[in-house]
Amino acid sequence: MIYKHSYFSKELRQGYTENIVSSKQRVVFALFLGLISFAVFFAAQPLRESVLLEAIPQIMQPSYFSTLYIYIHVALVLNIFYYILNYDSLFFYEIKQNSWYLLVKMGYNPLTMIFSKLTALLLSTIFVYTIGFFFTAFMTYFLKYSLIPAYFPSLYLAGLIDLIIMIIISMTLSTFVKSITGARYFIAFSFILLIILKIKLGYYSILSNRVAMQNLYNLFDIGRSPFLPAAAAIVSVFILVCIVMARNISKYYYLPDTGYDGILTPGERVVLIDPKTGRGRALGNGKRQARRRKIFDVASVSFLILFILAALSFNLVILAINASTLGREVSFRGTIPYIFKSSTMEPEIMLNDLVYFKQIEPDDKVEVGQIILFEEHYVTYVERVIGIEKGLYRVDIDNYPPLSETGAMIKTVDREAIRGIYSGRNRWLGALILFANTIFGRLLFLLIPAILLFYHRPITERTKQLWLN
Amino acid sequence: MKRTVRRQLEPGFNTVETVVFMEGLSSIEHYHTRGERPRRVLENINLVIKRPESWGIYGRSLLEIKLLLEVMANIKPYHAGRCILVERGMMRNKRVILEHVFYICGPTMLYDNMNVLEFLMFATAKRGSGAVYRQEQIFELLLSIGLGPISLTPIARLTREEKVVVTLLVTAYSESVMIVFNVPEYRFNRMLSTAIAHIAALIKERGKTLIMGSKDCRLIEKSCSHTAYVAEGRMIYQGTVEELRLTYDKILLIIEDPEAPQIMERLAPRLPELHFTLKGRRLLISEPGEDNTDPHLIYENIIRSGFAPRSMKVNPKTVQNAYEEIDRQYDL
Repeated sequence: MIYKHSYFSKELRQGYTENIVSSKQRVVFALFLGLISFAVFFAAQPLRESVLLEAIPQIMQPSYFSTLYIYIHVALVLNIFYYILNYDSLFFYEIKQNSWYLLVKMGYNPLTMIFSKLTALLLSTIFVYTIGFFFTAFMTYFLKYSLIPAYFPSLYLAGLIDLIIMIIISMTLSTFVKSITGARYFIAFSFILLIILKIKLGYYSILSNRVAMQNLYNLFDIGRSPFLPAAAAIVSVFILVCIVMARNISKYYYLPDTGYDGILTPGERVVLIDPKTGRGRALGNGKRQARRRKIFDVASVSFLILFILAALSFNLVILAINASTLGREVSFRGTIPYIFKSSTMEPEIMLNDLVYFKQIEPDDKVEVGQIILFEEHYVTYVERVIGIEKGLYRVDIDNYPPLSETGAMIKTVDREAIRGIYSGRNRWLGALILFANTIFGRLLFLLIPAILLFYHRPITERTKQLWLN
Repeated sequence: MKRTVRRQLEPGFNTVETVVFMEGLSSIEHYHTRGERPRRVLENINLVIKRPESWGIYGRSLLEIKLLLEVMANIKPYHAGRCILVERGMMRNKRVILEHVFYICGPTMLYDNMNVLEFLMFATAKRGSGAVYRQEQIFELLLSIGLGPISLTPIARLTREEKVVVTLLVTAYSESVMIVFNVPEYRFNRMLSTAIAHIAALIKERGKTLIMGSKDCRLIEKSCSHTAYVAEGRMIYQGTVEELRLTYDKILLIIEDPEAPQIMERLAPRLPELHFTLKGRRLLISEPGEDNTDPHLIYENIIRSGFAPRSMKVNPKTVQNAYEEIDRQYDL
């Protein structure tokens, strides 16, 4: 085999050793993106009977729109992970590792390399994104949802624009940052900023609107959202800055961040004395690296402990709520949490809401109009008090199913049967508990903490390598 | 534009004789010990390096070697003195890429997603000649210098030492006349030392000068025509390797025997003009003066003392011994 790669073809290959391998890897990555999107979609489906259906219908509805909407976000997030992992080879950071120094010395033109790098990353990202997009659409076909191709171009373009913005921003930042760790934080931070910008400029309300997304023009309608013109301006400025900066930094040789770490003998201290001011600045002797490692160790261990504790506590609460039985309701400081699995009290209490009942004593007063938790024939009910007669309470549900006879569910309850009085609800916690009871929820809240508990050392070491090199 | 600049410079480079000229150079960096006055890491350094030569800068402190080479390559500024590179002065702007200097101080210049041969082809792509011919040439070169075993290894799997040697090989194809190989903290194995020696010869053959920092005397002996010794911030020695060995390595004979201490006891009174040093089972017999004692005479004395050493050889004169002798002389 004769090796005659240009800089552009080398860049197209990215982190892989051969062209064929790199193309296959890219296709696999695209399919992976599609499958992950599908997994997220399926994980969300059991939560349809919760507040999520109202909050994020664009994800919860059974349609092509939902799967593709998830895909464009999954593609963005996972691509950002990919950029963070392969930061040193994908962006201009390699100039600061002197890879370009060698090439410039060997006759390569920095300007050509700058354009090649940008173009290659954009092309490979578009390639992966496009395959993943159509793979997701193809997979959705098997779910037999009604096909509305009108919103395909808008969704495709919206996702692609996000990726392009992130690439350009990351490329530009890579010409400024001094360390890989800093750059990784910057990429993550830019991503958060992008999301905030989209929300603030009303772009998300277009993206989430299935009807609006059927017309591609709506994305560019400044009246609806000025995000795209703003993004175009940002990208143009960043491209210019990126080219100028990359050209400038490619004129220099860069010393490693570690300075003289590992060179100085123990106890040796070297200072750089400014001839003008006479002030000294200590040169590295490994202390800086050691300090960073210590900070990282403390932060990662604290985070792990907090995460594991939070996950375990959450699991315990869920177990307690799930295990609470009639007459032995679990109460936390006088409050009984209860997952309401019915729509009989809508709109006051929605299906799968987490409802709080104030535990009552025998001499506590129960009034007409209050919603109570009571038991009858070993079954727990939640109904509203509609009347009190001779110490007996008449209760009824708020919402009768269509075509059923109103008043059919009226009951009379003894005071002793009443366990609690409705004091409030949390729809989001209800959705979270619902999720925790699904297979994905179990994995997230039980399996992941368990894995972290047993394998925290290799995980921390790997993360440390990634963030501190 | 870049091409034009190179064309203008090339004829100049060909006539250049002095690659580095340092005079009274001292560094900005200081050693700082509590309770003592700060001392400059480099002080009053004088050094002249010509082309085509290969220099091994040796020293007791890695920092001193490294800093000297950094100043030499226009990477770090200096406090006082003069430093002229390739008879063209010294840039005020530090770390800027210079046409005539190729500086290596770490393994990060290569791309991990290529194998060694592939990277060399990639790096030399702008150096004319057809790809087929060039690849054949490079591959043969890799085999001849002993890097055959790693020629098709992905760079990601190489050690940092292997990576810098591959980078050094690239410099042989560059147009820079001064190559600075500043990794004195690295330890090269036999295969890599041999490769470096071959590359150094190749660089010299192409009319360039290699300047490498090293604490490995064997590597300097194998690869360099010249050497310099920096100790306590000062230039203690500079000259050819040959001259160093012949002048400073005073050891005449090396005897290896379990009874080396007894041999020394017997021989010392018989040969008072010689100096005896015991290193484990090895007895080093050296001649402090300029008398040129015949090794045969010493041998006869040993036999007469009733010993038959297991191994006895005439010292081939090494850089290691020479520098140890310098250390003794300067009480370092």
